[in-house]
Amino acid sequence: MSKLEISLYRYNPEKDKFPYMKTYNVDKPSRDIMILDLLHLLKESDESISYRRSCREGVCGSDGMSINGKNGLACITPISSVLKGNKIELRPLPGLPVIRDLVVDMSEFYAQYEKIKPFLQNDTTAPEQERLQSPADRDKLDGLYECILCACCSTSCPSFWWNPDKFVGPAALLQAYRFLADTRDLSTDERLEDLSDPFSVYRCHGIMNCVSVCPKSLNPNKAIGEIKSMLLKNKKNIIASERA
Amino acid sequence: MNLGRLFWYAQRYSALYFLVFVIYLEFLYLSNQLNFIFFEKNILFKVLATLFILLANIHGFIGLWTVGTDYLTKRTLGFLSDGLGGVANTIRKTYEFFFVAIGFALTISYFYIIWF
Repeated sequence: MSKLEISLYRYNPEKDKFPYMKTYNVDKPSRDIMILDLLHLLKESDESISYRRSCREGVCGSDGMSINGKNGLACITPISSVLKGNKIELRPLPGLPVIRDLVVDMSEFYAQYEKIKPFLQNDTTAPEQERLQSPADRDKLDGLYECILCACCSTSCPSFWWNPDKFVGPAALLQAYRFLADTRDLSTDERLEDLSDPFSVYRCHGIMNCVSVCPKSLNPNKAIGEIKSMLLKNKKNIIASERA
Repeated sequence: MNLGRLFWYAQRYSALYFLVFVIYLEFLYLSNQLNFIFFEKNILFKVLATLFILLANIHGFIGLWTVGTDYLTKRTLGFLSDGLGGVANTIRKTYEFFFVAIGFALTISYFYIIWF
């Protein structure tokens, strides 16, 4: 039976001065399994390996990691899709501080998410049941609301690596546009104003890493383009006229 | 107008102007007008060349400032060493001073060449 060579990023700040790569050799499974299953196999032989996981079906976004150099969700990435020879290299999401092994500190990522105020803002009197939208308006949210906040996109973006405190990042910008595009939200002016500095949106240079790694096949780059367009054309007036 | 939008417009419109100016130069070259006598006599060319220099300064400033705020920060230089990270702001300000000074010196030189 052939072997898989798995190179795993290891770092325990309580014991290790520096991170290092540890190689594990395991029998190649007879069927195609997911990277997360492979990590479970490794953990059976080495209980000290740490990683996050929860739903194991690409919904919770917990197990984002760098798999052979490309960010992805371990639970929905089959080993056959990433094998290079018989080798697989697993590292934590790049650009975020490592807590231990594949577990990263997501604080900077969540801080940016919080910054865009990811909730509907509408101070008009609430209707008895719910705020309705036309089917056409609802369609505008497709491709935006499905984000699971796994951080694969933001941590593959060099602009986010260099300025995670100033550049909002593709994941949060996708959500920013989700609310900008929502006809029920009335804070368009304020949202655009909050994004109008030279860093928050404009630090995106459109290199499309976010699009190529998104496990949900979303397009943050397109959403960022729409936000730039709104900022440039003062599209809030267009939206206001659409609402009228 | 906010700074982000101002920078974005300035870079795009200056790039468009560069394209138009290069096409104009090509036209001069292909029509055998590209020579120093033409440079000296033609006011329109002098004005367009001056505008080119000013816009190149703005375009270059935004680009270099962006590079500096990406790569010469406490975070980025801190990856190399804590010492460098600690003086990152000084390094970036020095870098900004130098490219502004070089841009200023080049602009004065070009103005002198074009107008005197």
